[in-house]
Amino acid sequence: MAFTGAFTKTNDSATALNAFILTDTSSYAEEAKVTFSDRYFYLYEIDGSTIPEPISGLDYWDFNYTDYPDDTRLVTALTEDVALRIQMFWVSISPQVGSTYVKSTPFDFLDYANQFKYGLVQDMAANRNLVNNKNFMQALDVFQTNIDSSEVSIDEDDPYESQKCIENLQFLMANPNLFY
Amino acid sequence: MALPLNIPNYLEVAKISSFLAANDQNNVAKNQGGTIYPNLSRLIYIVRTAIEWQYGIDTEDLTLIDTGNYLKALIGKYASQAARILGGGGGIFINPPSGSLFGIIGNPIEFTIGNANSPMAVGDTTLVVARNNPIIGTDSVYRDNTVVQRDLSDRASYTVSYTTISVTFVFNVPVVFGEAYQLNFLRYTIN
Repeated sequence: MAFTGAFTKTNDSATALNAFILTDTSSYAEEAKVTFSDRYFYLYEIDGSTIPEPISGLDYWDFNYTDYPDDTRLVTALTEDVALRIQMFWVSISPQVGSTYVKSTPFDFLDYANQFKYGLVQDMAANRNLVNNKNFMQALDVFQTNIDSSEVSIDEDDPYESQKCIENLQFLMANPNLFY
Repeated sequence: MALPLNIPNYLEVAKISSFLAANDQNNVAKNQGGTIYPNLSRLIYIVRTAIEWQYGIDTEDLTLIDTGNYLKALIGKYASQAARILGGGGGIFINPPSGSLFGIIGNPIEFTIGNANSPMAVGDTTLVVARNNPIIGTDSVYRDNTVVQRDLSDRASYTVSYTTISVTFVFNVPVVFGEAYQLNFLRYTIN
């Protein structure tokens, strides 16, 4: 049976906002790890630019088998919300017909927006008359709609639309007077 | 320090309450020409997801006391009804011939190959799960968050057989160290 590269992304917001862990979930039953010489991934923004690995400065993020034997890599480079396409490559020294050595998946990162929203909820808990403020509630509704729409866009494999929603969120966060 | 609130419980109740509030608003709007607070369902949703996010970061964050209490206040009259719906999970049926009551419950089994509590060892292909009254055809298997197909020979898959006291899963590829499995099936609980 063929090898099919697979990975998952798990948020690790407790470490840092928008921090995440990539886990290689490929099954190495048919092609053992010793048949691979390297593994790496790219973080693509919607304009095609890449987020480089901060220490090496390289466009790709090293995920080799020697330094990451537990198949996980923590990424803490995102300083704002963003929609990304993550593309991982597995470099086989003996490629097999039918195997897939590239996997590409879109993700959105919304911790900064969620942190902002939680702050609004704290305001509402402290001042329960805020729900009677139409301006506040309408802005909050728009904010939530953009969070939800970003996630739906990712479900539909559309990071471009997701990024548009994130930019709306960033505009609202940069202009809090729209809420009050 | 543990929080004095059961936030996970609040979140579960809030999910149901959001639907109850939406239904209530619809009825009131339809039958009485309007409602005092038409966006309650939406507000519960927004507050609930915000708390869910914060709780995911820090289960002992002290700000959750204020925001959790706020969520509880929003849920208000729906809380008890939502709790009853949650408590009933799966529902109860009456078997007409015998009059006995029975329910249906899920039965997820999760393990990682190589862990001490894993029921399968590296290289195993068969797992017998001893549970009474499983419901035939309700099984599903996930490996590392990916669905494992059933009854296929051209890829990694599994076959399954049922008895009244057990379910037997047989994989056509031996399990590998580090793989995480979730096996699911439903079963009757007969009283």
